[in-house]
Amino acid sequence: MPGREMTAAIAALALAGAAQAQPTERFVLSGSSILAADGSIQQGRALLIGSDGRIRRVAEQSELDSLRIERVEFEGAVITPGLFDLASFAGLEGDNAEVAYASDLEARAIDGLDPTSASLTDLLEGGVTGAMIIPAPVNPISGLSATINTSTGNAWVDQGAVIFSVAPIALDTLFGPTSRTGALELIRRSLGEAEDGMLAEVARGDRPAVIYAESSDGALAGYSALLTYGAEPVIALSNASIDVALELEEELDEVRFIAGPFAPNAAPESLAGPGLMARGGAEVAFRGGSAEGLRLSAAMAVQYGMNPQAARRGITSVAAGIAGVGDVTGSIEPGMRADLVVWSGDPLAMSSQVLAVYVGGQLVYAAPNSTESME
Amino acid sequence: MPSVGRSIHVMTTALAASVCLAAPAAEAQFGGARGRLYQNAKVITPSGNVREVNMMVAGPSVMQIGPDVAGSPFGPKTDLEGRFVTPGLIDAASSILLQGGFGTSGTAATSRASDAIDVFDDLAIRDAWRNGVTSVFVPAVGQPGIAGKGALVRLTPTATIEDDEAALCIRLDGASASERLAVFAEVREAFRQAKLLRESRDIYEGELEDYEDELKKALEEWEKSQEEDPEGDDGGEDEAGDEDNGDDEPAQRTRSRRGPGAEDNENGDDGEGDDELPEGPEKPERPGPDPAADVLLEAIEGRLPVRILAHSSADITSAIELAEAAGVELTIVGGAESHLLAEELADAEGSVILTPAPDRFSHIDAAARISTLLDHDIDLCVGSGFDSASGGRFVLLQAQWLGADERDSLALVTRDAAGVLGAPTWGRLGQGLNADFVVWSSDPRLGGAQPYQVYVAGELVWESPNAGEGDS
Amino acid sequence: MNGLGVVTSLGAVAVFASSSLGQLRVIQADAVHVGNGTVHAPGWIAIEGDEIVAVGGDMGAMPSDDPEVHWGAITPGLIDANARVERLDAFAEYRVRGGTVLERVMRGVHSPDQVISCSCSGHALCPVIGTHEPLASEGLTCPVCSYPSHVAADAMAPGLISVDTYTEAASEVVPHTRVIDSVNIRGADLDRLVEGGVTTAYLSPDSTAVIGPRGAVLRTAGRTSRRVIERESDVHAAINSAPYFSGPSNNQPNEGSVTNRSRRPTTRMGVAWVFRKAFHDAAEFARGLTPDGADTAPTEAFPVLNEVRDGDVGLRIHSRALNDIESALRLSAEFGMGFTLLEGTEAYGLIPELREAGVPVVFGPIYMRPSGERTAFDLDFFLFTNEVGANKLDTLKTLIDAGIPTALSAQDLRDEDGLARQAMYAIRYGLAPEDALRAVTLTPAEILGLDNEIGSLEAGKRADLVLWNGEPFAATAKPVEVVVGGKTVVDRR
Repeated sequence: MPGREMTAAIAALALAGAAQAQPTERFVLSGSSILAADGSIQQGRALLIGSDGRIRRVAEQSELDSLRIERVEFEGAVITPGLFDLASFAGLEGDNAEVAYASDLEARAIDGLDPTSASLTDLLEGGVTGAMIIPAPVNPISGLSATINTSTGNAWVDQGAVIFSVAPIALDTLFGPTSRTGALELIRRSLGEAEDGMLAEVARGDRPAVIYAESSDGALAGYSALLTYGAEPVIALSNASIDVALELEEELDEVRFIAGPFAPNAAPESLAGPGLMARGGAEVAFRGGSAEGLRLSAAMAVQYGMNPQAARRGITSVAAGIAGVGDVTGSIEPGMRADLVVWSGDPLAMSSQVLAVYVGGQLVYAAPNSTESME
Repeated sequence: MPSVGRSIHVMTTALAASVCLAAPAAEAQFGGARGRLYQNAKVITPSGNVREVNMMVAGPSVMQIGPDVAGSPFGPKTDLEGRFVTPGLIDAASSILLQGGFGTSGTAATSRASDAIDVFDDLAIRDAWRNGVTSVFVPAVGQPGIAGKGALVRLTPTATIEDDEAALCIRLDGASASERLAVFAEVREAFRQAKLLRESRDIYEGELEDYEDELKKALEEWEKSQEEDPEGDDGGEDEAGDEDNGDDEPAQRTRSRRGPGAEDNENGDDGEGDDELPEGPEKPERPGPDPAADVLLEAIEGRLPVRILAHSSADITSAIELAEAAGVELTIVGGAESHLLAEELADAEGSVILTPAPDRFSHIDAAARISTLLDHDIDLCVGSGFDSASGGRFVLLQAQWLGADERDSLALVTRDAAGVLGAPTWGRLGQGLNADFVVWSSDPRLGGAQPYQVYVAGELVWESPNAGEGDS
Repeated sequence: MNGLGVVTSLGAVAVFASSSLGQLRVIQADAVHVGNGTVHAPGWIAIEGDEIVAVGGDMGAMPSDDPEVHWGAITPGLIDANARVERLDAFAEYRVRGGTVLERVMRGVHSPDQVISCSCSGHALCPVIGTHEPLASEGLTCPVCSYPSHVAADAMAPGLISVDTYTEAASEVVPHTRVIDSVNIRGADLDRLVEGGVTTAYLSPDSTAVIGPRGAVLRTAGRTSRRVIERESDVHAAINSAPYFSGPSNNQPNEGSVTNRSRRPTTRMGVAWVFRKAFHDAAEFARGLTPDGADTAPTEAFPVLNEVRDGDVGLRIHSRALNDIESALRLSAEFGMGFTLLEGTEAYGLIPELREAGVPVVFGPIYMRPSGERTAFDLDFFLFTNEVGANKLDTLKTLIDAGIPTALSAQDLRDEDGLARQAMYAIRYGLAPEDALRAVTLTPAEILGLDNEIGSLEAGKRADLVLWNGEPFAATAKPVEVVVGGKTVVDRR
């Protein structure tokens, strides 16, 4: 996948740079617990952050106590990887619905990005350090996603997944396609005819694809159309996802799914889908629309049967993976970027507050009332 | 160990409660004779402490609860294996079960939310259970204005309406400024009219007494004059007297004895203000019946709580003013900007049921709102709001989302809610109280908890399909 | 509720299936209608797995000493060769699945800035349209169709995404699209079909395009991913008034503004012209030329049209009125193509011509008032064009007696107007019961080219059968059990 290659390249560059600068241990970050890679919250663990901005060690607090370096301690806090919002419009200032052409690969989220946008700050201060941003899915082929870092607005992946859409908003009564029939025909034909370029990469499975839908049968129709052409699409669907889970029951371990955003009035059929999919082995991440919305969507999915560990992975490591940067950030493991959020509690509890946000080992946000607790 | 007498007393209470409130749980009464012991429960107390207790449940109520409670060695037992247990959560303002959402047609003080409730909507009830919710207050919500009476509903398998006249609901949240003003004026006028009605009734009572006295006097004078003139027609008098045998109403008796000239009027309905006798007094006019005003009077006289739906500070100010003018106890439902008026609300001894607010209030710092209200000792609880699709769902999540911290959030949707709603058997686990409780997969105040089992009226009504799966 | 019955029985099937697979099931019945005219009364049928093993009337030859006894008739599963999915069924589905809380399912989770206001006619289908304005003035969305949110289009017709029609309307010539993409194969409408005894359905698109999408053949029950028998079946053309009468209306460019609606047809002549030009252009395209001019079809359409001309892809023409059927015959002859006539309300007037052209007919439904009002609902105004004035109730009999292969279809009618009831009407107006049965089983199977798999109760065919409570097409008849692929999917016992 180009996205993955690109990030690997970035990682390699960063590593090379780091090697030259001889990374040293910069500080120990500890709270009462951390969010481990499996999604569980583990007590008594602390992190050693290197001067290269990466996590160097994850160990028992007592082991790191002996080190004679700076310690940053948040009493009773939970340290998690920075959260990841998918299919977000954050940072896309103004109108992000490009409607001139039904097939529009030229619409690229990165080109609509304003790195100084307040929406990015809102995400960051809410504990979301990364986002996969997309152009509005208003065309059957809506454009390209980008994966960005919310603290700087820089892109990890500037030309990411191709966004396909079979939602009603992708249809156009005056200029067509006017129906899902037409939209899928266009998608199929475009993939079938593509000999080179991005769609050909999608058809070879080299470039990620996202199929955005607003109904379960739309998602299934789009998913199977893309599969036929060799793509490996991620399904983005909020409504009635339980139908998708049931329909793809036998192949769930190959499914990647972006759930949400959920409002409190979401249907049980929508809320129960993510849990069912995750249970069947699918990679389930969330679309929140805002930092709070992201956690709320995950918490609601938990209420409707999703394993809490899977839900925590869904807003961190799994999401980063779908955004193409899972090998760089999104989990607390040695070698990963130290994009970390210090919470007053489990991020799935809506009462938990962000105390501090670290990006690349640097403190980029500290909650106004949390600084006293820092040593 | 408690004495035998005490447990008998508890059982009587339980039976009485089940007879009054929980008719569908009739079969549970058979179990009530023995009771089931729930062992090793980690009950979270309203103050936020966790206590390991055993709980004896007889019929629909809790018979005993405490660390040392032990049942008969042969009695039925359930080991809760140290899981967290809370009282069934309360959704303090919910549109759950409201058939077809809320109507857009006009409503009146006499309308009842209970009339629109579908007690057989088991999909919605199961949905509430899986969120740990076992009881709700369903306000009447129609057009802005006086909306009607809300209902207290217990989510037994077929929902039980415990009180169909739980509170008078008033909506002050009009869509536009002019509508809001008009609605407020209308509501205030309705209360004023109700008070006027009460006054005019009082006046009528007084006037009626005066009128009777005067009539009596006139009669005495007339009788006196008759005695003075013994040639009067006695037969007519006797005849009239027989007809009215057994009628104690002095006014009528008097009327029947008016004299031969008045006989034509006797069988006519209320021939008031008889001007045939120039010296006779004028009968006061009885104020007409007004059921809507009677409801408002119930509220004014403190027999019916008043809950006012208001979000903006202006509407809440109106609500406080209305409560003062009408002399009613005040509960604000909604309350997005209630913290701005925390002092005034505290002075008015008002309480607040917070619900999710419209988007235009989204800038408000939720945590600051709740802490301000709590600092002012305002009674507070949380409801899911007026979208019937979200009714009974996510209340604990929303309590935290609306700003409550981990410790307060649970109290807000259990004990405090029961307090604000005036439902003494709800929201707590104690002797003689409802055996509505939730067994959780982990501490419900922290993230990632799911209801594991839900009990209503002592019966297991819902169990997680993923029961047994643990979390970190 | 009908739907509930199916849902429950489907649930039961999941359990039943694992144990019944490969197990011999022998049913003895009052009558076994084979479908080709033979009736075993009494008779028996043996099925194993998803296949029919044996059928017979000789009770001694029954492969079981202890058969199930069914007091009624057994017929093959019915086949509707021109079924259309009812758009409004969206609501039926949500009522079944959502119980009294149907609005939950409809409710999108769009934030207000994502909501695109729209007055599209998707909302016009909403049964509570009267509440839209009061709700909208309070900033609320309609609980049923979520007006003014555009999610409505989805909510109004799951699977039938487009606002007015599920045929792609960007052009009048869209044979490169396929109806299966717009159909919710989990939809409740299929449940209703199978409850009425229909086990296989040819899904036709609606007729809003002159040359519309390709139809699909579906099983009406079973695991949804395995329901599709044929994804890309015949091309559906419409030579009737629907292309200009239904759907968004065509018109000339308005002050120079050209949209995809600035096009023919707006008349019957226009319909014929668009049809002719499409095939003419396709021929040019095949010669390497580039067709142009007004009303030129999209390039993607031409290869499919050429396949139709070559006979590799079937053609179905939907016509009701006599003059339209004549046009269909004329136009197809012009390009040397065969076709299947759909609906054919006035086909009785062209018996010799149809026979000569070798045109099979999928006739129906049989109305008391052809293409006229069936309900008082406004929607029908758009669906039925009143273009036919002179129907005859015995047309099906006339066609069959003339030796024209004719199947019977209920199109979008269900339940008490469904295919079984259509067969009852045909019998009432003179058709022999066994011919009526053949018109809804073996004949449609032949028209669909599936007669070696389905359509009659013969050893080796798929075990699709219907167990009736008595005679199959009596007025009181209803399926008590429907078996699809050897599995019981409806059980009313």
